Amino acid sequence: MRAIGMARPSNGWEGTLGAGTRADTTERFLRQAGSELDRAYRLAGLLLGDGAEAEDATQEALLRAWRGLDTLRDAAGFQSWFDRILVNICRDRLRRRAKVRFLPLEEGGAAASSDPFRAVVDRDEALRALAVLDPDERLVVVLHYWADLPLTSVAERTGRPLGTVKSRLHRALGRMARQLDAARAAELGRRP
Amino acid sequence: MSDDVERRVRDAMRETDLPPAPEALRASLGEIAAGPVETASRRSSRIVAGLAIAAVMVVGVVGLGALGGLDRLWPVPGGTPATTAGPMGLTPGPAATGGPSTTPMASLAEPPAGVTVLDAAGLSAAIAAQRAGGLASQVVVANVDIDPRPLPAVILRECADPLGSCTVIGTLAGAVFPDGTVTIRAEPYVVPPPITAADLHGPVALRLDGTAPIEYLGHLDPLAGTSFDVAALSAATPSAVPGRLVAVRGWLAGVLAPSCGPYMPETIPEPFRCPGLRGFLADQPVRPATRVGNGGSISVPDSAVTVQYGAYESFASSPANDGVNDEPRLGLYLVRFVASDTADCPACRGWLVVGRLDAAPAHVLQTAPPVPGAVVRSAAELVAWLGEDRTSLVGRAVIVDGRVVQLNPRSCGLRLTCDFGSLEGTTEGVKVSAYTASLLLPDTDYPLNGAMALEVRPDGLEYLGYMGSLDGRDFNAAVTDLTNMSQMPRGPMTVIVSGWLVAGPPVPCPQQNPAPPADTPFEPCPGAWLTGDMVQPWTVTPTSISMTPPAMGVRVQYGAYGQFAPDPAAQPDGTVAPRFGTYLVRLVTDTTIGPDGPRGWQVVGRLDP
Repeated sequence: MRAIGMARPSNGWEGTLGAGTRADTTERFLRQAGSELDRAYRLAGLLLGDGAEAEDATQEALLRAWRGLDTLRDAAGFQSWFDRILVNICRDRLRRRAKVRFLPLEEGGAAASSDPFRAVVDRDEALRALAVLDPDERLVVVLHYWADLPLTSVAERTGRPLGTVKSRLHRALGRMARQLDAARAAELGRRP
Repeated sequence: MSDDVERRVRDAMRETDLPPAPEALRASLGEIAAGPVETASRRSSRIVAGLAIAAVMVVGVVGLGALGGLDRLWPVPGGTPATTAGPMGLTPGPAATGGPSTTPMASLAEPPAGVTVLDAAGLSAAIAAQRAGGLASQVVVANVDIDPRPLPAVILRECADPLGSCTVIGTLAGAVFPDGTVTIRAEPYVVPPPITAADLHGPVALRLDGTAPIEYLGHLDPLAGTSFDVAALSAATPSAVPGRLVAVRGWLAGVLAPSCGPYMPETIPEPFRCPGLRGFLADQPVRPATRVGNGGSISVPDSAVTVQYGAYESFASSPANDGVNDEPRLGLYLVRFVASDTADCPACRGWLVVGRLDAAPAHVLQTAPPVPGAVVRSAAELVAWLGEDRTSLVGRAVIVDGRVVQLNPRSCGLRLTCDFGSLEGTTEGVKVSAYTASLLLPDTDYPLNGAMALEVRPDGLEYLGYMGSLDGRDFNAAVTDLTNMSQMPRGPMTVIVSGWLVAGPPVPCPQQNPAPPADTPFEPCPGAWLTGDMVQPWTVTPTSISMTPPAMGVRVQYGAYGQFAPDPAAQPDGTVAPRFGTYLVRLVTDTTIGPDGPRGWQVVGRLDP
């Protein structure tokens, strides 16, 4: 039986798991993942609206990235590849949250009020409106407006067709608009 | 309004001062890279355990019922150890034992039940139709070979919809059509299947999507000697090897799983992270989850076969759910046996749904993709747009957020069309047909103030209806959303739907008395449909005409096809080719019966060019 001979394009991580190159691989992973760490944590924080969850999600993404390093074809594509892992994790957490009320591990409301992401979100009316979005809509809004990614890149990272991403963005903005209108009306109603 | 929100959201996010990653997280990066790959950090373990406990507390028995699914499929006892992926997943040579080619080759005399096997000419026609545009992507099975040589110079191509990376593995043999480059998609989280030359012989399953590269899904394994049902798939699972591709008829279903229950997510890799909970193929239309208070129970049939997370959303026809269960969808699905790319899970194996052959029911050919976002213009934007080249826009339907200032009462008397008013803030006059005027509500101005559908005329605009929302979110709807008209609001509510327009042959029809309004779905025949699946309901023979009503379709006026379908074309037998488009449809009433007469859907425009 004839096998198809075709060279694999170098992904920059060649031999990552080979015995002789482990140190190089580790060093390169640490460098690339380290440079993405702040951005990844912030992205997760905006998506999840919770610092502790963002920390967990980012850590889980790092773990999966390290385990799946040999599936990364091109080292230059590390950011989008890592984003995709992180986005999947955040989406799962958001979906789970919609159905299950997880019990906080730390009791007391102080933790919530001091959460850096919640504080940021609470300060801005437009960011508060993110709360009305479902997980998929929230992903699209944050990736497009905060991460400043074009919609094609959002589609790539969320694994959804471009048309779906566009319709989700349109829907999300509509829902946020209604939420902002309602908030404004409530505010006017409270004024003497 | 939308622009304002967009600006506010963009500004808010740009000005947001978010904190950097905590030191503990930075430190854990070093731990992850320093330790064995299977070692999670202490913090992660603690949190996950905590979440699992919390999930059990809140959800109750959810998850316990699903545990039964684990032993059935994942991990597979005695499963083949993970194959180390060769270059791009192609086998490094004869060492690739256990690849798809070890299975007896398909006998084309006995193609899998329900699978239509195209010959080279049929494939060529299907590709040409795709490249002409306007069709949703489709999966076909063809008796053609793929020639691994000569390989084009560029070996990485961009897959389409969803975007991703595709690697060129060859070209269609025999120059079936120009530029017949064939690629294989890199599926996330799984090792690419080993491919030998034998796997490139027909029948092969291919995914066609417009002008995007053709995707190779695999050599179709007919599971020789067994039937193509879920039970057979389940029985074949223990001995399945990565890369095996089979067509299976069954119900794709799923549970809107609250969580993986007590599972530690690290121990179960993508894409089968919640085995038994999320997606499965069953031999019956099951809805396994039952809600009880804040929790519930799940009972998946033993015969069901778990598939990947997200399979239902990606491959089920017109996906829908009742808040707990996905609505089961019968179909002929292509599933490939895959191995996880996780380094520490050598026994992790499972079936990945990679396509649907749309053979159930037999006349279904494709399923509509999601509706694209609509462009809603302000009155000023509309005027500017019309100013660019009004002539080319005549006849086009547009959505405008504005107000029609009425000049005349809402009746045209005996005239077919009458002047109605003007679009506020513009000099555009607005006309309305007598039938549309009869649909307007006598007791509210709402349909004339807000988002509305208008048709561009040489001398003004024609009012078609007000834009409505069936889900409270936007103007988009799936064809299946249109069926429950009794719960819908009054007036000419208009929504946007992507689907296929198809009409029957022009057969003579009996007179009706009183005659229903012209060009409405209330005319009894001949019939026309807007469908969510691409179907050809009519079968015409020299001696008979028969029709199978589309399971996912709504009746529309007969003239809709000729007026709105892109490139309408009649076949020699009088039927027409289904035409895909994004259409504006409005809710109408048979006003000859009265204001409470029967309701139906009328196509009033097409939004795509």
